[in-house]
Order: sequence, then C-alpha cells, then structure tokens
Amino acid sequence: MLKGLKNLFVYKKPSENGFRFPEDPQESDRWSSYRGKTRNLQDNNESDNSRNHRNDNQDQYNEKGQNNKKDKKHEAKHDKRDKTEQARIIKPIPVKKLVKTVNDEGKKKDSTEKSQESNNEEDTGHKGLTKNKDNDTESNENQKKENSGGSNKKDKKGNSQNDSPEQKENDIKVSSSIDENINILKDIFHLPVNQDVIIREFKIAREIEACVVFIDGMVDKSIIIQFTLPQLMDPCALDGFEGECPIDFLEKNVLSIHQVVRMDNYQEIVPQVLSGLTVVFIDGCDECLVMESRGFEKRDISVPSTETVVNGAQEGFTENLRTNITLIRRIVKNEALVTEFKIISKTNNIIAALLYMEDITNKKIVDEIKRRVDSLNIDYISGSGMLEQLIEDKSLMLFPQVISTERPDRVASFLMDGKVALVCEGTPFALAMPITFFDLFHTSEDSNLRWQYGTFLRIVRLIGTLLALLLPGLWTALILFHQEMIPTSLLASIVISRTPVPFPFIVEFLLMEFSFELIREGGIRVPGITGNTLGIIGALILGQSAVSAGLVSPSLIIIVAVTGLGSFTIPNYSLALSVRIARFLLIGFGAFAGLYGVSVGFVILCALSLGMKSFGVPFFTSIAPETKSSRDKIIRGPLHNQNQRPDYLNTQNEKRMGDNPRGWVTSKPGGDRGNDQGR
Amino acid sequence: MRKGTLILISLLLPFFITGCFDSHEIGDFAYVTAMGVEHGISDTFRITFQISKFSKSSGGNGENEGGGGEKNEEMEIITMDSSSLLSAVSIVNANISKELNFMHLKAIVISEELAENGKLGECLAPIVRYRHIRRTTNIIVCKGKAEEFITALMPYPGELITRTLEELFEKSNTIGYFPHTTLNDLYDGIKSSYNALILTYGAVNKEEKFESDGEFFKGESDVPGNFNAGDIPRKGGSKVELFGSAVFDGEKMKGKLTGFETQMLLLARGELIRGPFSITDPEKPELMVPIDIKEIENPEIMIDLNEDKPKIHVKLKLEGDIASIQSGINYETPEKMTIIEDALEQHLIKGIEITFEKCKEFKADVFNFGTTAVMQFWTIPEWEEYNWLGKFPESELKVEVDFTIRRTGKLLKNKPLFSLEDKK
Repeated sequence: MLKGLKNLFVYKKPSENGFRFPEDPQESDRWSSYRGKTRNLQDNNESDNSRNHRNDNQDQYNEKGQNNKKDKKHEAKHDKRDKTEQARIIKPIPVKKLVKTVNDEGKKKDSTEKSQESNNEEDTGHKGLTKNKDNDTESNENQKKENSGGSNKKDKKGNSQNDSPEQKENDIKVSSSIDENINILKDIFHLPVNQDVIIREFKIAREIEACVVFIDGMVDKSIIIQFTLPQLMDPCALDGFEGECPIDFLEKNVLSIHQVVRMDNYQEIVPQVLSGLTVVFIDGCDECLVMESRGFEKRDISVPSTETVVNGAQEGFTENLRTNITLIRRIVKNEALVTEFKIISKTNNIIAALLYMEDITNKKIVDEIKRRVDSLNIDYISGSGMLEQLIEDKSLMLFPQVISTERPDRVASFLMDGKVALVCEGTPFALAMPITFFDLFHTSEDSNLRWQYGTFLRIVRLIGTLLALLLPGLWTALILFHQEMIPTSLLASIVISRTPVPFPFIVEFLLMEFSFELIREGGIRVPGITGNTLGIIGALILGQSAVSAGLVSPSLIIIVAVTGLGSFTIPNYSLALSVRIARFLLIGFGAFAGLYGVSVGFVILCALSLGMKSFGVPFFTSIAPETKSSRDKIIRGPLHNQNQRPDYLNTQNEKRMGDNPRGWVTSKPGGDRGNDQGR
Repeated sequence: MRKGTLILISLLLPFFITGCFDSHEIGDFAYVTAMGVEHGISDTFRITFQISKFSKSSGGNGENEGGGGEKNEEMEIITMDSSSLLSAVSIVNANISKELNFMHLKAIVISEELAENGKLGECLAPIVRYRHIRRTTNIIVCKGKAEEFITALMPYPGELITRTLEELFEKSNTIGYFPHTTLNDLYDGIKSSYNALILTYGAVNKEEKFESDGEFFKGESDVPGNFNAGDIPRKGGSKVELFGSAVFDGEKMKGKLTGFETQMLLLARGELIRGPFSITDPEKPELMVPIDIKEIENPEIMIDLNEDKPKIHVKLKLEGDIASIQSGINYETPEKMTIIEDALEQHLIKGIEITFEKCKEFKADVFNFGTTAVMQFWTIPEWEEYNWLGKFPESELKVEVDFTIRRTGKLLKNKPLFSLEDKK
C-alpha cells in the first residue's frame, strides 16, 4: 500500500517515462542520412525514389554549404559592412508543390513519410505534438484534394481564392519565345500599371533577343550596369558559341556574377524577382538565369536597445536577414552550423532561416520546428513576432514559449547548447526554442561575468521578479485583511498617510498601478526624445501631486515604484509583460480573499506554468521535472564546471567541454587533459 | 480543452467557499494599545481603553505641518463600567465612529484589588477565546487604579506607545526586575497544576519616596532593587514604572516580590539571560561591587520526591564581568578573584533562598519546579493525587551556584588612590 502510494508520488526520470525521443531504426537511419559524413556514401547506392528525393535535398545542402564558404570569404574581405547585399538564391519548396507532385508522379514519398513519422512520434508519447495532429493531417488531405483538381467543396479553410492564381503559375513554364515570356511577365506583374518592375530588353551580342527583369530599388544597380549588361551586350559575347540555346554558355563564360541559377518555372522565378534578384530571359531558351543582385537600403548594425549589457558584445540584430545570419555565423565559425531558408508566408513571401548545429542539435527538434514552419498557411507575416505566435505550443498561455532575442551572442550560445534558432526577415529579433523559464531569466552578461557576480545579478533579478509579481498582491492582502501582521509603527504611518485619501484602498491601488502602466506605455509611444524624460517626469509629477492632492498615500507610491523597478529587472520583455499582467490577477485575488487568495492565485499560476511546454520541454525543466544540469539555474557555478549541455534537449553530444577544460590545471593522476568530444 | 476547463474550475472553486467579509479598510479601526480592568462602581468591571490616534508626529512625516517639533503621540482614553469586556467593546463601538481593534493591543492592566479578590478567572481568562486579542499581550498588575495607570502610560517622546511597551518588556530578559508575562501565561497559570501564576507588577510613581531635601544617607545600603513599583525613589521620566512581581495562588493574588527577588526568581528559572548584580565588598562592607552576570547553562534542577517533603536541588552555572570596584582593592588578581566569586555565590544563594521562603509563604510555586517534578509521574491522575502545589510549601531547597569571573573590565590592575591625607 505504502509502496504503491510512494510510486505515485516519486518522480520518474524523463528517460524512464518516454520523455526521451525514441529512436527506432528507420528513423535513426533517416537521421544519419542527414549527417554530412555518411551522406556521400549513400548517394551512390540508393536507387529508390525517396532516396532520390533526399539526394536532391542533399545537393541543395551541398550547394548551400559551398555558398556559405563563399560568403565567409566574402565577409572576411569586406569587414566594414557595405550596404550591398551578400545573399544567395533560395529555392523555395512550397507545400503545395510537394503535395501536387506526389499525386502526379507518385514520387516524393518523403513528404508523406514525414507526416506519418510525425504522427508516429505523437503516438510514442511526445505529448507536445499531439495537439497539432488532427489539424495537420486534415490540412494535408485538403491540399491533396485541391491540387488533384477535385472539388473544392471540402475546403474548410476557405482559402481557395488564394490558391487559384498560384495554381495557374504552377503550370506556367518559361517559354522559349522571349515575346511570350515578356507577355507572361507583364501579366504576372501587372505591367504597365505597376511601375516598380522593370523589363529591360536588349540583344545579346547584337544577335539574340533577351531581357532582364528586376524590381527597381531592390537591386544593386551596379550589378546590372557593370556586370550584366556590358558583358551580355558585348559584340564578342557569343564568340565560340555554337548551337541553339546559349544559356549554359552565358552562365559559364560571360556573366561574372557570383551566384547564378537556372530556373524554368514561374512559380520559382517570381518570388526571386520580388526579393530583389535579377532574371535574364533569353530568346530560344526555355530556362532563364536568376542572378543574385539584392541591394536594397538597410539599417546599420547598432547596439541592441532592448537587451543592453555592461560587459559583453554590443551588436544587435538588424531587420536584414542576411546580416543577422552573418552576425551569428561570425560567432559560430563552424561548418556544422546549418542554415535552412524557408518562405513562411504565402503572399508577402517572408523568408525565415532555420539555424542549428548539425552535430549537436537533436534532429527531432529540428524536424518538429520544420514541420510547424512548413505547415504555416498564412498570407502575411511581418517578422519574428508573428512567427513566434504561429509556432508556439499554446497560445492561451500567459508566459512566452519561444525566446526572442536581439543579441547574436545569445543566439550563438543557444545554438551551441543544442537549441534551434529561427531568424526572420523584417524584425531585429531571432527566435530560439525550445526554452525553459531560466533561458528567459538569464542574460548574456551572466556568463560573461565571473560566476560570483553573475550569481549575484541573478539573485537580484530573482528578487526583483518575485517583488514585481507578488508584492502588490501581498500588500493588498495585508492592508485589507491582515492588519495584525503589519508592525504597529508601520501601521501607524499607513493609517496617517491614508487619512486624507477618499477612495477605498483597492481603488487607490489600482489607480496608481494603472497610472504607472500608463507612464510606461506612454513613454514608449511618445515620439522622439520626449520619451526618455516622460517616464521620470511623469512618475515624479504624478506621484508628488497625487499625494499632495490627497488622491493616494505616499506609502503606496513606494510599493508601486518598487514593483515597477522589479519588473524592469526581468531581462525578457515578454516575461516582464506576463509578470505585469499576472500582478494584476494577484491583486484581484488578494483583494478578494487576502493571503489565502494570493496563495491560491500563486498556486494556479505555478500549476499553469509547470504544465506548460515549449516544443515538448516543460517550462520549469531542471527544477520540475528535475534533470541533470551543470548548475546554471539561479546560482551559476564556475564556467569550467559547466561541462554539460542542457539535459532536456537530448543533444547528440552532451558534453560541452573536455574533462579538464582548463588544461593548465593539473588534473587528477591518470586523468586526461581534455576530451576531443567537446567543442 | 475540456480537461483544462475542469482544472481551471477546480482551481477557482476554493474562491466560492470564501468571500471578502473580512476585508476592512485599514483606517476603519480604532487601534487599542492598552486596556485596563478594575472593580467598577456602577457595574461589575470598569474597563479603560487607550486608543492611539497615530498622530502625525508619531508615525508618518507631517509634510504639511511644517515640522512643528516633536509632539507626543496623542491618545484617546475611554473608560466605562460594564458587566464584561466584550459588552464594553460593543457599547464603545456604538459610540465612536470607528471599530475597536485589539490586534495591536500591547498591555492589559489589572488593578491590584481585582487581583486580590480573585476575579481574574471571571474577567480575563475568557477573553483568550476572543480572536482579536493575541495571547502574547502583556499583563500587568498595577497598584491603585487601572484607569490612572492607563492615563499615565505615555510613550517615550517621539515614539509609539506600542513600541515603548515592547521595548520595556524586553528588559525583563536583560535586567530581570520584573517578569515578562503574557495572556497565555495568565491562562496557563490559573489552570495549571504544576506551577503558579506570576505577573508583572507596575504602578504610577507619584514621586513620594523621592525626598529633595533632608539629611544625607548614613545607613547601610540595601540590596539594589529590593522594593516594588511605586516605591522607587526617582523623579522625572515615565510616570509609569514596572518593578517586581505579583504572585498568585490560582486566580488570587497572594503577595508581591520585590525587584531583587524577582531577579533571583528569574535566575533560578533560567529566564534571566544576563543581568547586573551588586554585592557588598567582602573587605569593605559599606561599598559595592557591581558585576554583570551571564547564565551560561540552563539551571540544573533535581527533585527528590521519595521522602515526605520534596527536596529540591538547584545548580546554577554563571559567569560574569566585574563592572566596577568602588573600594579599589585589586580583586583582579587570581588570588583575590575567588573572594569576589565566593561572595557573589553566597549572595545569590541567600537571595534565592529568601525568595523561595517567601514563595512558600504564598504557597505559590512560581519557580516552576512543578514542571520538573511532573516528569517523575507516569499518569496525570497519579500526579494529581500527589498534589504538588499542596506539598510545595513543605519542600526544602538546596541551591548551588558556580560562578567564575571572565573579564575584569577595562582595568587590568587597580592602583590605590593617591591622597596627601593618607600619606600623613
């Protein structure tokens, strides 16, 4: 009996409970094919369809890998950031296309395999995913039906109007006649009404009709003026060429552009034009050349404004995707850092980059994030903020489930821990996942400083957080219900200060808390330089005159001010906001039922946040459930002792450093001087 | 989703069994800081409430007042005759705009007459049940009228009365001229079968013992503190003083212990952590040697119940510092140190024995020897049959004191006074 009871309450380690991702042979096989090392061996031997498809993907990887290297060199040369874009051409693989080809050719089993696999995962206890299961399969079915030309009646999502023009584009291949191509382009880009898109017609070597298509303002003009048109229009351009279609010849011999890709489908071409690439159409060829030429105006790298630190890097992300990835790559100079690009919104074609360490990150996490991102079916995403809301586990939950950071060094450390980062065009923030409470609670300064200082700062921050969350509620409870708990002299001063106040306590308190929120919100919204001063002046004037007008008592202003300061210490903006909201809930609970109410409210808050998961990882992992950790929660141990990656991520490589990370310290007799496993 | 809703409902359910009935604005109360009980004229009891007005000078900073100097805390005193405490509370509540609140009550004052007539059980013991009054409230037995005592009870300038009282009662542990007694002790003392009740004794000092003019004192000094509240020859300061203790048998007050006797009592009970004692100089009896004493171990009490009369053996272990030597004799030297040690030991043994004899007269075991004796009984009926409180007056006490001097103060050696007269 007792033993049975005990079993009920004893926490089972995650590994016993099936928390660790199961690795059935099929999957692990699949995983290993992801890895760069075994890739080439398999390429030659496999002949079945799914493998072929994978090989396609891998070729893409390889291509990207090369590109990355190019970029690195390029970057090294141009260390002062010039405004020209150094990007690459992304081949988008929209969901629709994949599914269509499945139906048409019976090929590409991979995508269906993928969804089945994800279903399997759900069955084997990966609870974080189960919620999406039904929706996902449903949407897949829907898409199949749409694309196979069946009736659209069952389309529950009501997005058929968006799908039809796309479908039209699907069918359109590049014609070998230049005139026809120009007509199609005019049709697609609504020329001549739309004046942004420029189609420049010319003749290659005075012989072959051709045209370049680009969007004014998105391209770096020098690429077209100096490196495209002069070379193509050179009378000797086609010297040594024989045959019908010169596209191969031009790509290899004439165009001195660093990235050129051949495409034949308008569905692929149009997004490239829209994102600032230049396309060359040549008469007589049913392909076109897509050249990298992005060169739009962008903001320079500046100090991160939301996550300032005293000791540490002072670079923040910008709105530009390429710059952001470069910033990360400059910190993680390793070939295992993989960047995958994905178009995440349908209409405004925003690109997001998925970053992870190939040899560290758990592939299940990567797959899950890919699954979520790929399944998005939305017209407009403006940046990481919207993306975060679309991929998080539970949208009803108060606390953030994905961390959004402005600092490349934080993203780099997340990547090295085995997390996955999503960098999105349009906002100077990167997302990292899965996260726990402690990721939201830490700053990059904690690990930059010596451990004593880091720990001290964290304790200060913890007290600040608790004050911001609990102080208003507790104060309400004390004043309204538990006057006996207040020391008499404090009681005296409260009574005296409250004598002229005409309102009930709770009205007075909410008034003050709300005014404080007004100051904060007003301080952000007010334009320009006024914003900085508004906060201080507003608080001073409001507080001082509210007291002298007899509207609030001075003791209350102290409480509100301390609460405000406490919430400023929370490093993550989303977490700070959720604490600010929870604070009002606790005030309500306190006003309703005193300390009892506050404790019930706190228990509810704890229960909800303990049950919350971020990509399958419970929010308070490493405390509840308890996992192995190298002392990096509130108290931070010395750096050389933190030799483990977070246990809950189940990384491929759990050790962060060798057995003796400080080689100069004589290790134990017989101990080795380092372990090459750790990076 | 449905599961979540269920959880949410079950979490919110606790709130439906409660309500905000207990919620009160902090300014709705009149905080009673002291309360007096004595015989009434028009009804059984006369009850006095001292209510703090929390005036500006006492707590908050009066910014609009312009800092008009330090005023004493303003008090409101309401006295009324009533049949019981709670009926008095409700009648007063009906007459003032605020509600009496006893959460910050610091002292209950009982008049000596009421205590001597044995009315404690009727009047005070029942209020232990009353939710607002804490069991830690201090109880004082006062000489004369309780109303007078409450009226004279004023805070130290610039302080709140509650703080003054708190700090005053703290002195019990460090000086020991009066015991620190609470409502809980009172209730316990009245009902207990193994110890008797002892309460703090207080009085309004009317400065009768202080003679400003007259002949100089010629006689031999008494032991310091060998008097009761109201008899202290002093002038100025607080009108109210706490000194000595009132000893009860059951709910009836039997007599008083002086300040010195109370000190001895607390020492034997192990409640005096440290305290100043003065002994007469062994070599020059007209002069005093004050010594600071620290009780380093709890007293060891052994009680022999085998014979007719209970035999009590108390062992005290003390150490102390010499505070001053009036005579200038070199008691610091190791040879002479023992003289002082022996003298103090004798002094304390004598003091405790005198106190013990006095308590035997009162038939009150205020030494709490009963709590040790009770350990020798297996069942309560056996203990009750033995009737400890009845046997206590016949008991015999043997006191042993082990005293060592730790430090001799800031002087290492005393040099004799230099005077020309002596040289001649």
